[in-house]
Amino acid sequence: MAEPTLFCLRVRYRETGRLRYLSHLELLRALERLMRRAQLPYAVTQGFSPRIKASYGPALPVGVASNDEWFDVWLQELRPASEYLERLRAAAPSDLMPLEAAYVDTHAPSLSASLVFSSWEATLGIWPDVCESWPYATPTLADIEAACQSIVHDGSLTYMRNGKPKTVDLEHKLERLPQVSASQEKDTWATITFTTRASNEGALRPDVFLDAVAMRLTDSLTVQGAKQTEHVLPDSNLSVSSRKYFRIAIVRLAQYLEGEDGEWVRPMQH
Amino acid sequence: MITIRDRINLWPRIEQLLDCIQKPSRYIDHEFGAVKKDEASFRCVLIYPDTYEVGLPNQGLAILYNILNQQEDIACERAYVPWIDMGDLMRERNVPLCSMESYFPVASFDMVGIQIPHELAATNILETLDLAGIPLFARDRAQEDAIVCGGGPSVYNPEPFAPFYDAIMIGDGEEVICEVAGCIKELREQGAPRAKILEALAAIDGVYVPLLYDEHTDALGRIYVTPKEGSPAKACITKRLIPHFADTDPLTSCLVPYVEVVHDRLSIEVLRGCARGCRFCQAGMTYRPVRERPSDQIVASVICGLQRTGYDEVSLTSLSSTDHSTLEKTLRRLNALLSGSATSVSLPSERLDSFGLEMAELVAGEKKSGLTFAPEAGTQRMRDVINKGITEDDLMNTVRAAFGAGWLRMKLYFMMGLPTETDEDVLGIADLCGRALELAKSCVPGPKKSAVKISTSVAVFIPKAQTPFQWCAQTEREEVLRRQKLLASAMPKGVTLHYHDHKASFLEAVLSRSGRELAPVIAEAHAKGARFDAWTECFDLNRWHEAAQACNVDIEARATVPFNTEDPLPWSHISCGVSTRFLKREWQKAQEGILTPDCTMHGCTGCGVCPTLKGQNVLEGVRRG
Repeated sequence: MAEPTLFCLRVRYRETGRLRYLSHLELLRALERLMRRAQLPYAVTQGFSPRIKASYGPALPVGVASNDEWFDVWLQELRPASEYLERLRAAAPSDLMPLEAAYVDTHAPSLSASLVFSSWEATLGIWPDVCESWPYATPTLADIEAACQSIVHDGSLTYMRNGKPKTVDLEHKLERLPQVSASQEKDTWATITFTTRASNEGALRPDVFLDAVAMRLTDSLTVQGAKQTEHVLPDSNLSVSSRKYFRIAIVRLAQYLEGEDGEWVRPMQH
Repeated sequence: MITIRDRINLWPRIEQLLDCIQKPSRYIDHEFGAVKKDEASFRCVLIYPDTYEVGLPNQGLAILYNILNQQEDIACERAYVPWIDMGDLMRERNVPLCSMESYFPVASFDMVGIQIPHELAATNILETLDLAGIPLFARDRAQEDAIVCGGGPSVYNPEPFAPFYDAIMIGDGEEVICEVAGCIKELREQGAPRAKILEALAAIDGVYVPLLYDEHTDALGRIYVTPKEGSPAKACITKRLIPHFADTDPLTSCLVPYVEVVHDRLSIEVLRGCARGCRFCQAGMTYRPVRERPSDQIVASVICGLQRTGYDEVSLTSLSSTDHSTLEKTLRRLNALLSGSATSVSLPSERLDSFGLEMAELVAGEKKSGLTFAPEAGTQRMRDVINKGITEDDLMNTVRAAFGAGWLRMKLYFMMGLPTETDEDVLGIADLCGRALELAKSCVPGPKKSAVKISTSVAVFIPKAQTPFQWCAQTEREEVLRRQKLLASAMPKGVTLHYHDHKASFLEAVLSRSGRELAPVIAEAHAKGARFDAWTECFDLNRWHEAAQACNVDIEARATVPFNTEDPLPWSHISCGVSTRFLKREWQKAQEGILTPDCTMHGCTGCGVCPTLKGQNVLEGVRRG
């Protein structure tokens, strides 16, 4: 039997609000259920446990939101992409809203391998419930800038992952260095934007970078009322303990493919 | 001043904790299909006393959530017990338990429903109340405190939990939940005192109000209760029944979780009740009579439910779905309709005979991962005592057919410590497994023989209220350990043997067979840190022993001292419709090894349910025995 012709629909969606807490697996399940609710004429994979034939872009860390996520789904029936987009939107929760859809070449390289560049925007601040027990002086933009620069200057950073220290080399991983600017939001100190570049050796996780910035800050700030710098954050697990105080909100602003000359290319343009 | 009874959205405070805990997606709400009724003045919250993953798929709560939200001016929300890390952090930050949909504090709801799903949930019921800031004991609640209601599968001896509840609903909840909510609503609007509300609730059929009963203690310290004089409390609370089951909505709630939950699929309840009459089985007594849904209704709701939710699997649930008289037709229709959509159908349990296997083949398709059966006992004598109604030939025919059809793995469930059990019965489990393994290997072609796997799980029998074994004791620990060793030494190589934790079974027996005297023990165990007792990694029997000692209750005796059949039982005032006379007769027949047939396939066995509850078996066709 001849293989039926399939069409690859590329969909851009956002993952915002509370749904930023979904794990990658939870997200994939939610997207599959979304496609089923929208009754897309999806193709299914071969084998004993057939699934929807689809592929997804690089994972977002738990707690990180995005305005620019992508998936490809293989369809058995060619209809206007706008029609499928409408069906998907009607079946989607607002925090997981499809925003664009277009057909791409079925032989296009996979999203997970080709979405190399991610630009991020993070705001750094303090949670209101712990404001009063915050032992440090309020950091200035210069303090935060210095913390970012010192990490970049070190060229690598070490963090705890599943109870074990893990070191990530920053070389070639930061396509655009962090820019620090004042934040408009209440209880936040600064906005930090940067762009990462994924490679075979992995990628810099934006949450790991922000946790590191937070820890550098606590190293450099003086404890209110005390003369010397001291560690007050109790936990050894860096990420968890710092998050008890720091409000770190991260959004993926956009993702890009890498063009032939290293330029940034939007996924639909492929 | 803001109190926990103020309806304030606490999401901003919860959000501040989510970066510090495991699986934050448990706490975010916003699932597809969650119902928001901001405008309703009367608010209920239904709580499953375990984590989100365990609680969300619960079909009973899904049914009630759906029904309550269909009522005018009533909103129903959900809550679950936060996992230990989150619970501790909430206490540290002084954030009370709140509902999912509105993030209002649980204590601010007019009606707080906490399900009683199984005995080991006891401390989690208290964890729920404690995190919510509601007094643990009903007697300590003030006028403005929420009315705490219960219901669910484990209410047929409600006594150990009864002092924590203002009202407990017995039986099918579809109608009674609306009556209870309506009653509280009306009386609250009138500003009625709490005592008046409780009295009004006690007057509703199927509603048990524990505070309206006097306690009597027998020589062994067991408490049984009788109605307070002059109160509307009933001497016997008989369960509620929905006789026309097919009139209920098969599509309960279409709430689709993001978190991977324990039953991550659409569930359609295809029938209610089971009349096989296994004498150890509480559900087999308490869900009678048998009521089947029509095939057309099942097929239509499966298709509609899958479209609405986007699930890739549907489970046809019930106590014994393979018994549904038109199951085969239903499965064939579903297979035809769902072909090519990467959607699968599943049955929660398989029947141990050729028909059961045919049905397993219909749902498995190409994917023959493993089969699970429950022979329950190793010898024919023992199986006759428990009225299991299957023979060794049934098992062997099933093994031959299953391994011949391509299955390579089979799991068998057994019990140990059943009434009248001897060493011969224990060793019979090993013999039976050995013969099954040999037969299985002979049915599989050469190269695949080594892949054949038979595994067994052996649990300790727990005598349950409202069953023919309700008067029996649980086998003592030392004896259980001896029999476990005996079986382990006899089990043939190639059969894996797993024992269900006997310490947890012991506690379950204590909680199944005690009266109200156990409530302070539960509270003390919770105070000592017991919660999530159903989770192996959290369970510590020592806390319970210490708690029992502190309360001066002999929990050993609660599990291992039998009741005389003439004794008043702690649960004598609760009835599922099955008569005590029938239970006594069944207990007698058990000891003589006499079988009682299934009344959906043979004649009436005189259990008393139909006349008492004014219902009857409702079948869609002729059942295959």
